[in-house]
Amino acid sequence: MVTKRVDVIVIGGGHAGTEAASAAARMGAQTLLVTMDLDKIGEMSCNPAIGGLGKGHLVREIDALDGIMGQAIDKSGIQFRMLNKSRGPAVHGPRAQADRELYSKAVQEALKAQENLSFQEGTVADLLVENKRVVGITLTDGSEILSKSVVLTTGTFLGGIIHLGSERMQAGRIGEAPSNALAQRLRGLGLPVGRLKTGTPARLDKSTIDWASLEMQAADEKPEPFSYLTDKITIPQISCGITRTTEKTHKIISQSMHLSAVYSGQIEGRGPRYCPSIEDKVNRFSEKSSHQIFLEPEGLGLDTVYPNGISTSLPRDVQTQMIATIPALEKAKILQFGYAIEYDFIDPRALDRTLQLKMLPGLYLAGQINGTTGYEEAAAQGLMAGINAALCASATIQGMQTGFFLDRAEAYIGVMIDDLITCGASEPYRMFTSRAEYRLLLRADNADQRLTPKAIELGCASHDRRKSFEARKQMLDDARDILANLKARPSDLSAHNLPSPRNGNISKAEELLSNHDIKLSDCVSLWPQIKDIPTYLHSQIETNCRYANYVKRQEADIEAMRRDDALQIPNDIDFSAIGGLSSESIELFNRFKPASIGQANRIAGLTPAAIICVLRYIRRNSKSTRAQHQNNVVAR
Amino acid sequence: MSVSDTIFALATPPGQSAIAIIRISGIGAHDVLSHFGVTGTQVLDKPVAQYRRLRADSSQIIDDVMLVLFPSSASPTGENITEIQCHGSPAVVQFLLSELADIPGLRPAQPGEFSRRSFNNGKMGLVDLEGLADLIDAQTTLQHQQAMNVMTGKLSNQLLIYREQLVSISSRLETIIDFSDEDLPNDVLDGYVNTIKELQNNINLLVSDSELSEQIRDGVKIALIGPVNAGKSTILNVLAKREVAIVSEIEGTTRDVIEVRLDLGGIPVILTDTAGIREAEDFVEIEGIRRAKKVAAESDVTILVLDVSNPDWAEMLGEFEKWGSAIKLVVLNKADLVTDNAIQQKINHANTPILEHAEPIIASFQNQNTENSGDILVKKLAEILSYIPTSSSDLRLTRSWHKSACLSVSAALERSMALDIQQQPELVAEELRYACVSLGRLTGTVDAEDLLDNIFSNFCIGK
Repeated sequence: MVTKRVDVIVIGGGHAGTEAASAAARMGAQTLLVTMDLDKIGEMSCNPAIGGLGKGHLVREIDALDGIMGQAIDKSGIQFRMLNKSRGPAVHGPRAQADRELYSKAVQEALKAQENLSFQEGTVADLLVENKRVVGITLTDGSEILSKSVVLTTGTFLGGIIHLGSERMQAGRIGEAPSNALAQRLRGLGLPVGRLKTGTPARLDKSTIDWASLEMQAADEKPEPFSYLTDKITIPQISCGITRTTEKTHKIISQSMHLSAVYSGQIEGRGPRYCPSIEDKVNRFSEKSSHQIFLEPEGLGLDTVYPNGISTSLPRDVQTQMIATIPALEKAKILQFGYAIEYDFIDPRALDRTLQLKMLPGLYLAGQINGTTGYEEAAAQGLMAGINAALCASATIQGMQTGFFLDRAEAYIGVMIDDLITCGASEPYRMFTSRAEYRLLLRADNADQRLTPKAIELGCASHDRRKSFEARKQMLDDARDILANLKARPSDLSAHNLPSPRNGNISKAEELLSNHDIKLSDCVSLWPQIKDIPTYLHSQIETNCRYANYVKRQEADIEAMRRDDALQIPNDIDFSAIGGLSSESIELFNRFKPASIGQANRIAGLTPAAIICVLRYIRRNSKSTRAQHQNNVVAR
Repeated sequence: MSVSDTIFALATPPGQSAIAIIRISGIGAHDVLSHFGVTGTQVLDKPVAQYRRLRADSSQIIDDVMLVLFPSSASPTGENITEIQCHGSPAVVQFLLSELADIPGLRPAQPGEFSRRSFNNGKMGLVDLEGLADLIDAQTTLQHQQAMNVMTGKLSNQLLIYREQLVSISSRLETIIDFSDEDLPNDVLDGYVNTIKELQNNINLLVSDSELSEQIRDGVKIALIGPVNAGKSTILNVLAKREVAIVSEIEGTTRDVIEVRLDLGGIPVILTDTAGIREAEDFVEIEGIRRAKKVAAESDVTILVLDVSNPDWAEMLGEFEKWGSAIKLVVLNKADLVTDNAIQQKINHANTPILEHAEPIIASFQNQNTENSGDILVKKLAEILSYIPTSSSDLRLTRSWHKSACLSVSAALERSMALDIQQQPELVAEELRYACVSLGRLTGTVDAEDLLDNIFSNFCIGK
């Protein structure tokens, strides 16, 4: 029975789902967010923190596209820290620990305030498919909801199984039912489904930790907001405790290794190498006698503490023994045991650049279902999927809409999605700054200039966002004009204690600032005009000057990349029919099915010779097809 | 390796010819001429041709050449082009190419780079290129295969090792960037500068070795010198006759020199027979010596052929010893006309280091023993050729763009070492990434930029 018709349905209320729903609604699509439990919208299932290296960049980009994550963490962050602060601005990583209740409250409020967005509690049983397109969903109560497009963000709920020692529970999160009907349906569609796993540590009772004995790590003195719309962080800032595992801890773990779900062979899914369980750490780095643990309070008014660094799937009694061997945790009370969770994901190579399933148009996937890990990665995909689902819904002819995507030189979001759809996910995918070739260009500080104009053009930026961006842009343009006209003779520079060039040439202000020791404020006495540049823009202007030569050098690379990305490989191509390809190359092409020559370039193991063969084949074929077509015209 | 560089390449086949054409394309293609003392070339909307004199350091004359200057609006690549049509002497061409390589902003073109630029600037459609390829496919398929095969074997393995080292250094750096908030050991970056330095040295070594190997690609030059009638021409004929792989026989511009191109055990060789050094009474003709000395200096291997039936045969040894030549070899010919003992006495008496260092080949290229003597000489030459390091192994950068890619790696490594790793690890990482990309062009690690370059190398190699 059809109960509703909307433009876009978003399934899931996690970080991907909430961004997707918000983005689709901001685009003007009538959007329905369907989730099992409305109260759990915006829940932080694992570590209560947002940002970090690479991840912080994603949050800035989400914010620049007017997503909700940046403002939500600004309203709930209880320990802001800028990682890599002593290093260059391209690798600064904004991070904040959140009060998990305040965070989900902020997300829920943002969604409730959003126009065009409604909510429905329920479990999805099936997708409605018509003419090979997704046209809606069926809930477990039998009701049908029709839509023009659907965004699926199931997180760890798809066929989720929790492992705790030898215990196995079907669950999406601890205490929550998984989504098994949907998992079966997706497998039934013949989608490439795989298994991944992730884990979480035990949660501890704050009042049972011996805080006085611990080394503490404080927040930054001046917390820097994530969102361009936040002026100031007003939440009180807290410190975290630092402790370490001991040899006793390791002994207990080693003795119980066979009881760990990960090591007993109970789990088939692959876990992230960069986020290992404590069993993994002890096993793989046996020479290390101790591992660091951060004790992160999960909120200002909450009793739970997240011990970051000891994720585990050991049995309950072993967890209890192990934690008691850690300094300051001798008497710590476990409120919830750690566990590993295994879940289904769809091989993201089945997606196109807009995150739409190639074999099932109208269905968009985002978040852990695509093989990623992390709130930020999920949110960024959710945002992109939401925008594209809305574009899909607004297309006058189905299948004719143009999608919205970002390339590797535009955003970390672009790097991530390109990586996923090109190479797939052999382990849960996490963002790092080193994944971005154009790291010096893709900075956290300039995300707004890179992306907000696109959000404005798309129509997913709010009035406030637009005003704020335009004001800032105007000031940056003014500052650029001021700087462009500043020059000085070597004698003037020396007179103001500034380094002068040996060749005796006149220096431009931009050249002077390319030296990382020189700040704008050092030049005020020489060029009083600099006083007209607001101080909050100084660091960005300095950064632009400092990286200018490097960025210029990369321009040719970027141009070449874009040209290669534009050379499409038809998806019906039969690689085995191409002469000159080795069987290894054919296997790689079939496995990865690159959509463009640019993507083929980025597949490890494909040789230039193999790619040339494919390119020649495509050209020959398109020529003969064209010739055939002309013949047909003549014949008629 | 930027697409905004000005590039150049020899547009005609290498070797002796009436005219050689060097093509220069890019923004600086016209201004480059001022480097050769040529000014006042005005190019408006049409190509112009001028007969001009090129000088080095504004004094020494290089050559009188025909210059054809194309404005970007009317050039095949859509960029400014200068074509230098010079005399087809390898020396002149080599001199011009090395002068060009020294000019900042200029670099040798990669395979297919001219075509690539034509395409980028909308001067040539893909279909045009396809047609062009069909025309010349028969020739280029082989060349293309060769280009692809260059990167197999030992050189490739060595480069892959360098690549691995580079990746290892980079990854240490990325570790301290991306995982700075983790519990890292303190020694992640220990000794990283030394590692970079060592890698750079190895790559520089590869580049300097390649200079030798460039010669090898054109052919190892072997010169036969010696008095008239010592049997040089016979030796040449014997060697040439044994080898079916004679490429061509050209009379040199100098009347007295004959060049034969042949293949000795897979190594291309240019064998030069000089006019004999004439003897008049007991003084050796000065002009003959001068000429022979010059040929020896330009050769990789010089073979001195002496007639042991001439009582004064040992006199030239002392002179020969002083000559410049990479490798020297002495053939004592007509040994059947004297006793072994007599030869040995002369050798002992001559007391010259040259005979101590390298045992002379005692041969008879005059009678029925020719066959045997030829075998001995060929064997000896093959042995010598195997000493030339770049020919014995596959460790050679056979093309100028291989060299320029290695130089680009080396330069990036140099820049990386000048940066402060604690304060600016992201810039060090950027230089290392750049080095990786450059090396990747050689190791076959696919990169967006090499791909299209390689595509065009299908169509027209080297131009």
